[in-house]
Amino acid sequence: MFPWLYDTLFRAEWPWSMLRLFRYPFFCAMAAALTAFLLCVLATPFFARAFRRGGFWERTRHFSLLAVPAKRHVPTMGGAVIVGVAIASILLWCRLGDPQVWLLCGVAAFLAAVGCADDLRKIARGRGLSRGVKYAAAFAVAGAVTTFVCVPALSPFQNAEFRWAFYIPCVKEGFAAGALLVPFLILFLVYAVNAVNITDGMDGLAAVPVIFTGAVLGVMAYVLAEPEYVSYLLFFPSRVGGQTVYQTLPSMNIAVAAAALCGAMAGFLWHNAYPATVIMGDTGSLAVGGVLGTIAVLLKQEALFLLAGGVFLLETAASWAQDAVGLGIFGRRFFSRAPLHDALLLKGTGESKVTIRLWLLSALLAVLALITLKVR
Amino acid sequence: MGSLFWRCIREYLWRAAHARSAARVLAEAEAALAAGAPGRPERLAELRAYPWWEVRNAALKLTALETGGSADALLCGLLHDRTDVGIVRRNAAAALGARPASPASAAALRRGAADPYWEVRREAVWALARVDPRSEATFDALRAAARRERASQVRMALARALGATGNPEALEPLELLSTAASWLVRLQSAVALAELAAAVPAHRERVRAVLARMERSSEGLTGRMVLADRMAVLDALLDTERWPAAGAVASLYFSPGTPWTRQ
Repeated sequence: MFPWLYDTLFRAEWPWSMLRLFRYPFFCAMAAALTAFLLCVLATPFFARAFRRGGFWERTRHFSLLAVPAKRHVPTMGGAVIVGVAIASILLWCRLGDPQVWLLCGVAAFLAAVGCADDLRKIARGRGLSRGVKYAAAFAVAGAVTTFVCVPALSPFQNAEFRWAFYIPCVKEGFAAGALLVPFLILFLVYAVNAVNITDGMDGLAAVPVIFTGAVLGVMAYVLAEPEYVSYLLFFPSRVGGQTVYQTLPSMNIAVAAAALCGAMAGFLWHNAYPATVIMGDTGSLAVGGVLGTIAVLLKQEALFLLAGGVFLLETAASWAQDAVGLGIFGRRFFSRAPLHDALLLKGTGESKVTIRLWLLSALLAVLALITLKVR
Repeated sequence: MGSLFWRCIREYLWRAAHARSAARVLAEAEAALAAGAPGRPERLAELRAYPWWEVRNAALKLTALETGGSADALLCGLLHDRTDVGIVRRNAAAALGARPASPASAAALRRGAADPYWEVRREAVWALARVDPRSEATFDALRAAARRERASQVRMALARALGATGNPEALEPLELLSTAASWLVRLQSAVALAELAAAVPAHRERVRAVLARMERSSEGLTGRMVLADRMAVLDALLDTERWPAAGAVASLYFSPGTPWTRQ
């Protein structure tokens, strides 16, 4: 909204020249992160108090072996604050004429609504929505985002060859995936929606990997929108008239949205750090995962997302190996418990130590992901 | 191991090809389980030999509903059938622990405590603490297991079982478990030591010293909170002249999460 106000209202003769700052995406991104952070820090306690008064805590969160009295009655659904604040900040600091902004807001709002229904059902009945309903919602979002990206009239990628290509870090040229890109994108988005949800099992555990992954994607979005950076870093080359040109993406608003998400998560972490006064629940984890996945698809950085969000991949892979392969095929458990953080906890490692180690791993993976900017 | 791997793959493919009939048979077994009626022995034998482990698992639970030595023998056989999947064998151990004790089942569980699959070992140890805690043979098996075991969940069960033996010699393996890296194992060892001190008054001072050392060394806030909570109870018990019955101390143990019949 602010960039639009600037475009509409600003006149060169006005004395407040600092308003020109609204024109710069970098400033908007930082302002979006700050706005979201402050709003989240300030708003979360009010919502947490209201949720606690309303009895909005999960009955089934802690398995009996590790149930700790101090952890009972921690209100859930804090994700509503994250999503609300992130959307507010995005609407304040992005250019609203960009359909990608509305796509991100729509994905966040839809998945937050599904997560909210799941959390409310857990509170009321002790059991959330069925796995089928949650997967249906994830597939619906994946279908919508894939349609947006692949249909020429909607797609932000105007070059058809580029639209159907798949890029991996450290490799300049894209692979022509053709129609295979559609099922890949759908499966990738379903994975992204679930990955944060699976990781969100301990106080503050999911928040920091989300911040790091969001920051990496935000940097990528910023870099990929600047022609100078793109040609210097040799992104998305294609041959036009015997010359190599480097494709830029209309991704400045995505950088602002990623910054807003990181700010909201950091603000939430203020209250969600161990011992948490509020947890995000499925309301937040599904939406945050969906938004991160959508950003990765809009930047053609799906593989980079898998690297930067390696903690999500590790947790999801452990969970999948245990449930689908171990119990589904071999009738045995590979780990004492899945996902990974529960197995480590049950092994006797302190909760805060498990959380901080996974944060450090996430930081390391984010650094590796950023290195791929130049190692190409 | 290799044959079990290929059996699982074959069964998975068979089930994928016969999804509808496998689901129907599983529903039949689960309905019988919900009704608490094992049904005809011939049908039960067919279900136990069914080429999909979930059906065999339900059939095992139906077998456990039957009384008598033949069911014991079947469960002992299932526990040691290394060609079957771990969950089925694990549930065989748990079912034996939930049945009245018999020499055959205790012997089978002692062997189960050395099984290669950790869930079978854990359930066998939990079951031994229930069906045959006081015999020398059980104590020897538990002491040997405590020395070699590395899986923290099995070590937790071992602490519980050693505490239940009431054997004065259990102090040494319990002291070993009380130095485990896992606070959960240390916690179970603490309760087991208190239970042992209740049974063997001569050990009280030594147990008090071990407990004091453990409280200082517990890692992580969650572990420390829970440990401090339980330690306060144990300290109160140690300070009283009248020691509670062993059963009262045992109530401080964490018990396994989900009942075996639901898995």
